[in-house]
Amino acid sequence: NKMASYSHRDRSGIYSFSSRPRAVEDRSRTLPPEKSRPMYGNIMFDRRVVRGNTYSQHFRPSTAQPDPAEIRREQVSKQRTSARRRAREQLLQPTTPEPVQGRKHMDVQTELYLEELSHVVVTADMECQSDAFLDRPPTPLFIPAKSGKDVETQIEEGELFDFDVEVQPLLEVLVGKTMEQSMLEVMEEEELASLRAQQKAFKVLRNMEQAEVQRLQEQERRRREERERRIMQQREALRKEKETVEKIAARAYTQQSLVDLLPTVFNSLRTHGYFYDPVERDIETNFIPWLMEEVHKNLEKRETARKLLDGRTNTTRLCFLF
Amino acid sequence: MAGRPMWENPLRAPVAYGRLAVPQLFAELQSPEPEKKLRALASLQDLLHDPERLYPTVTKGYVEKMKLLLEDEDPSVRSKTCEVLGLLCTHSLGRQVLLSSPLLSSLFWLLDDPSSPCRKNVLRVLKLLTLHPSGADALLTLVPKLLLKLQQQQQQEEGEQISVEEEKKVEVNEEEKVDEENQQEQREGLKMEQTEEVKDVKEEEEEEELLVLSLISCCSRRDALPALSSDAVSVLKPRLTHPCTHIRREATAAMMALSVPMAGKHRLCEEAMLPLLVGLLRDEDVHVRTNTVGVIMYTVITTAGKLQCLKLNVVSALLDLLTEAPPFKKAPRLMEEKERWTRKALVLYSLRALTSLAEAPEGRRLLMEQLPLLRRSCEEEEDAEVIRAAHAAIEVVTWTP
Repeated sequence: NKMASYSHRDRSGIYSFSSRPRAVEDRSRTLPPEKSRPMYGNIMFDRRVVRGNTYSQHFRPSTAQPDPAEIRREQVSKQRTSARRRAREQLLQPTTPEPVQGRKHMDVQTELYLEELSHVVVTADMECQSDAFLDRPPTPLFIPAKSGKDVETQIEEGELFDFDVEVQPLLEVLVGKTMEQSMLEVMEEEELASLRAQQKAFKVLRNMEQAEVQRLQEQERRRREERERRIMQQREALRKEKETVEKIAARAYTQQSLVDLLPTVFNSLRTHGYFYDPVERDIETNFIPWLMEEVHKNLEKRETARKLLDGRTNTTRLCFLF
Repeated sequence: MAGRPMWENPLRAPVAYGRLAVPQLFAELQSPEPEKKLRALASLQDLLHDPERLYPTVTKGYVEKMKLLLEDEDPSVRSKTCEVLGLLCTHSLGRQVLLSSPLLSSLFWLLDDPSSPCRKNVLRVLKLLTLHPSGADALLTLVPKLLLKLQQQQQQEEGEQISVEEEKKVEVNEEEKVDEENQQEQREGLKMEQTEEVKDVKEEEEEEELLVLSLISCCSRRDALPALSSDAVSVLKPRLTHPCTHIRREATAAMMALSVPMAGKHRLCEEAMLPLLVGLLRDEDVHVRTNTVGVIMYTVITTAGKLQCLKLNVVSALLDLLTEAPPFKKAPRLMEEKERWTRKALVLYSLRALTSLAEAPEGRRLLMEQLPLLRRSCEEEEDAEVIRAAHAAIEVVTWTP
């Protein structure tokens, strides 16, 4: 028989199963221990195969819970089998042997006091009549016995909720926050005001210093101008002095030089002929030139005559030569 | 009001939780209805007090979305937006963002807005901007415009004054005739009503004027030249004698800022402001007096100023101021500290003015007579700065060439 199925557990614990396809063997209910020859049943006559239309077949759903009818049937069959088993066992139990012929077995009591064994039960009838029904009285109130201490409690007004106490933290927060905010704002304003005051003070001092600076500047300017003016004045004065000194010197010198200027002047003038006798001058200017002219003319005449003569004599001389 | 839960406030939009609050409110600001916008703006105003909420709003650039709101038709929306911007300006980061954003030009344009609360809010925003020096620089270009506004207002007031005077004359004439008492009472009743109405309008105008003046003085402290070139001195002149104390205070403060540069000093001397100022030395309010002494202190540095002031007998006024202030002690509380500083400022400024005046020979002569007073005040004082100023004054007085 070859190994038709093969299953093994892997090293990592994974189980695997595989089998070659094989035909279903038809085993009868009695288990033959030896397998002489595999009997293959005809599938057509196998009870396990469902035949016919499967659409209307009721099939058990593949759940684990079996049907209650099935359960009962199984239970009944089990009971039957158990009963049959018990019956079988009973049959095999050792019992008293059968009576000898002519004798009868009888059940006998062997106790001290014999009892009549009968099926009839001694009965006696008794009657009893109750009174007419009364209304059931109400059950008395079941008051258990008092045990323990008596304790009372009562909620007074203001015990559960005291507004003043409750409102305290809220008020504290509200008032505190408001105060804080207002303090901050006031501090801010105060800071700003102090800043402004400081600024103002600074401005005042600055103005003062500025005025001082300007005053000193003005002073400087004035003094400088004054100084310059004075220097100018001084210079002017010096210059003037120098000028006057020069003038005086010049004057003295000129006076000195001019002391005998007058006679020299007159002398030179006289020598140059600026003082003249008018008659003499007249004779000089008018008469003498005329005279000279006349003389000149005369001389010229003579000159020209002589030249002419010279010329003629020259030409005649020349002619004479040739 | 059925259907609305009790905790919903009709004046404020509901605010989402946590990070979503501000973006959601800004989304609601896009809706066309003005009421919704007002509600959303009111809620924003409440939220932005908290710097934790303000910083992400400012850094994520939601501020530019407000530009559209500034050009909205409804004046209440505009003024509310300006209030919210004012809240932004209380923090330095908000100020910087606002200065660098295009909103600034819209704000300038809004100064001419017809609705008065809007204008006032814009002025408040601008005033907060001047807390930062670069803000004051940015607003310097605005100064001529503000001065022009003041001038216009002044002309308007003058026109009103003239008409009021005329009315008064007419009334006086009527009262001269024989009147029954009832008629008089009626007229007085009407007059009271009218004056009350006029008073309300006047108060608003005064508030606005006050804001404009304070803005001008803040900007001029930074750089007084634009104001001077726009003829600020003559514009401020009538305000020095204004009945309202605050306006006088602000006008004198502006004047002090203007008198710092040399051009301002010359201008003041030219415009003959000094008689007015000397008159103001006897004013009731301490601040007005302090500011006036400050102006004098600066003006007297120039020679012309010195001569004018000596003519007006300023020395005695200043000495009065010195003597009436009691000696100073350290004050523990802040309010007293403030008061102490104002009086101290008064004394310091007058000492400086006297120092400058002492450089003129006539002033020196006058002050030589008062020298024991100065020495006494020097010894009695505990305050270091006052002692120093007094020493300087004494030095100048006793200087000989």
